[in-house]
Amino acid sequence: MHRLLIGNLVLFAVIVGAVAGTSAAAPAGAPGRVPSLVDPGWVAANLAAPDVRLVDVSSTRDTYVAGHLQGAVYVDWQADLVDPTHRVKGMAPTREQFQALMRRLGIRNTDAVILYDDTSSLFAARAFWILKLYRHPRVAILDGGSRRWQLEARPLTTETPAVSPSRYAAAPRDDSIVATAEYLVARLGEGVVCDARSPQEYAGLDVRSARGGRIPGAVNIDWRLNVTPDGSFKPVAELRALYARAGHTRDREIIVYCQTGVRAAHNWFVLKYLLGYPRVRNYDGSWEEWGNRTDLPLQR
Amino acid sequence: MSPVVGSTTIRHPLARLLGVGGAVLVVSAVVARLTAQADARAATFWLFGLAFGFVLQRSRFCFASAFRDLFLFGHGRTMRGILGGLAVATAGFAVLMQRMVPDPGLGVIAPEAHVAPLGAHLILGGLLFGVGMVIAGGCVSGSLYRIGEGYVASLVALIGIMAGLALGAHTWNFWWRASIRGGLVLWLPRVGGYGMALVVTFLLLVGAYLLVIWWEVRQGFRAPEPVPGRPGHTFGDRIHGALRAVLVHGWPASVGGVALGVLNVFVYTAHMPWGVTGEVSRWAVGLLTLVGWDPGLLQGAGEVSGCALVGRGGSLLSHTLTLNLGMVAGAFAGAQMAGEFRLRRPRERRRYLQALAGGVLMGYGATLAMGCTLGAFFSAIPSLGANGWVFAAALAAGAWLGVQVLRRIP
Amino acid sequence: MKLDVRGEICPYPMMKTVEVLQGLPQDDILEVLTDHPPALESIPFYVTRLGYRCTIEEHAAGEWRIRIERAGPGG
Repeated sequence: MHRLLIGNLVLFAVIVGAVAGTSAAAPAGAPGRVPSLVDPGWVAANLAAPDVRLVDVSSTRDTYVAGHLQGAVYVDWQADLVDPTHRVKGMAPTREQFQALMRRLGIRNTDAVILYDDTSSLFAARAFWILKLYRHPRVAILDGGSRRWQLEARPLTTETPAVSPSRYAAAPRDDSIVATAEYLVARLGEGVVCDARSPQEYAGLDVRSARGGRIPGAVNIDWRLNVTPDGSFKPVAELRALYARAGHTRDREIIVYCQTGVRAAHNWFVLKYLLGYPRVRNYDGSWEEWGNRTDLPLQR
Repeated sequence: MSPVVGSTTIRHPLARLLGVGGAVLVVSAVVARLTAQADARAATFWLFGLAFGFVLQRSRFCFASAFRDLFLFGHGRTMRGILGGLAVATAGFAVLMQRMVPDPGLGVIAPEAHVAPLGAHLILGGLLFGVGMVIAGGCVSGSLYRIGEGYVASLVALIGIMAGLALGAHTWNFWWRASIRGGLVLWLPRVGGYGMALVVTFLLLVGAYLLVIWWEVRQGFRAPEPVPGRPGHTFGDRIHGALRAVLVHGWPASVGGVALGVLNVFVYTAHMPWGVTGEVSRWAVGLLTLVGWDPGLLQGAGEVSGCALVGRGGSLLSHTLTLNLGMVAGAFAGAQMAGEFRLRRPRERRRYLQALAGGVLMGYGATLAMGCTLGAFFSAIPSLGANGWVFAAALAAGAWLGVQVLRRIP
Repeated sequence: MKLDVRGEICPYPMMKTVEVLQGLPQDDILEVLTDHPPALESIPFYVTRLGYRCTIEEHAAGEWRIRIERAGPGG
């Protein structure tokens, strides 16, 4: 009887030690590295760490309210991740707006931010790009998002975490991951322009700005090609072959765009963080700007 | 203009015919305007539906008779029209698809193209559909537009089709797992580029055309002598004659086929190729849910292109709904202008049974083939999918079987 | 001779016409009454092959009378 109890206690101690060990190994301690793409197992193991912050970027607030990962705060991609004062719709927030958002969410500069959504990481990738735009060091996407989390029968909660504002200080923009229309115009025909929209938009059949079509020379890689039917990213080898076939090789500078820079951020994430290409920029104005400006050339 | 109706005496003054047509057009425009407030695309598709229905009615286009008459009477008048329409649509689709997916080797199939998995389900679906359409006397689109012309039996056929689709929905998951999921999706441009796919498709179309001609000659084909109409030389006579040719007389099948092919390219440009069964399946599944016989989750149905079953959800007002209703309205307008509209009830009771049974076979066949004579054939071959040809062959075999059955039903 | 196939749709108007034509006396004329427009295309097409010719006239709204007679020698 006693021996059994002692045996169980030993086993318990071993398990606790193992769990604590995994959580300590990854993000705990200020500058520890976080992989850019994490799986549900990693998140489950690190959920409770004080410097790991989960951010739900699902398509609607209703999705978040219905159930989210323990401790996750909600970010509205349409309201929180844009600059409402900019003349072009859907541009990234300004440094001040971004800083205010992070403070409101209680995220500190040293926190590891884990992003997830319900849409094959579409909005998570946009949030990732914005965090990188203001040089936040530790950011990751939960591969497969809430869908895969649930498929693995992991728990959700409806509790909204209590958040106390932080004193986040946003760094200046990292201009090496953004492109402007002028930057693009000056380099047309040089690098590779990657169009993350649907083939219909690419062909100018589905027109969402004043003009329909594409940036001259752009190659179409619909962002949906990055993911499997269950919403996870495809294996790296498969992604590498896909982009290579379309002429996107690591030696070239690649500029991605879509309608408002959201879908483009998904391709940007794949190219820069999964394939490790050094020079990849997101043209934030995208077709929302290009298609509405009559002074820019287009192809149909 | 049909060569044999030169001596027709039309009792309606043309002015009255045009008046009816004008009234129908005004009503249609009002419907389009009202729909546009809710959904612009739904309004566009309402207009497309009107055009499809009008052309189908005017050219008395019938996919069922195209296959059936080859075997029953040895003539391929309508089949030749269909082949012409397929050729036009193939060229148009290729241009569209090439614009959307310049590199077919990238691993993407052109959006909305009707390229479906091959397999036993497709062959069985074609056979069942072929038998069903011959027994019922019309396919899904035929039944829809004939409702607009006043055929009561076509309404019964539509009910049968919905019953067949309902049955299909309840067995879909079995077929998905057994055959559809593992089926090869063969999009010809992916194999050898658009050029090769076009060459292959056109060679097959020409081959089919020659086969039809050879068959007709073998069966003793002779063209009817044209009967000269009342010659008119004045301006008024000429205009009158031209209007009558378009609005009163039936169009030749070749004109109808080519017009439908052109319309199919336009409708694909607007969103997707022509198809009607997906929407009819939405009605069937909706009704099932109402009576508490919900088929549940249709595995993978959302992943396959073409006219696969559409489960619950989505708003009531969809562009496929307005397309289908537009077809009925367009046929009604065409029939009214030609003075052909009339409520027609079969005198023989068994015709209702034929319509119902044929409809059920068509509905079930369309489930397996993920489309009817439109979605799985008339829109699939121009989509450069191998499935269109496999379905066509099975459809022809089914029509032959159907003719054997039909000969035994007086 | 008269044949009323109103209410019938393809292929019955034609099947019944052919049936009657096979027993039609040499110099008789067959009048087929139909309300199915496709029959106006298919019947002339088929009976031509059997050595007949036909004229069509509208009988009432949405009803037609197809007169079928033997084609002249050589026709």
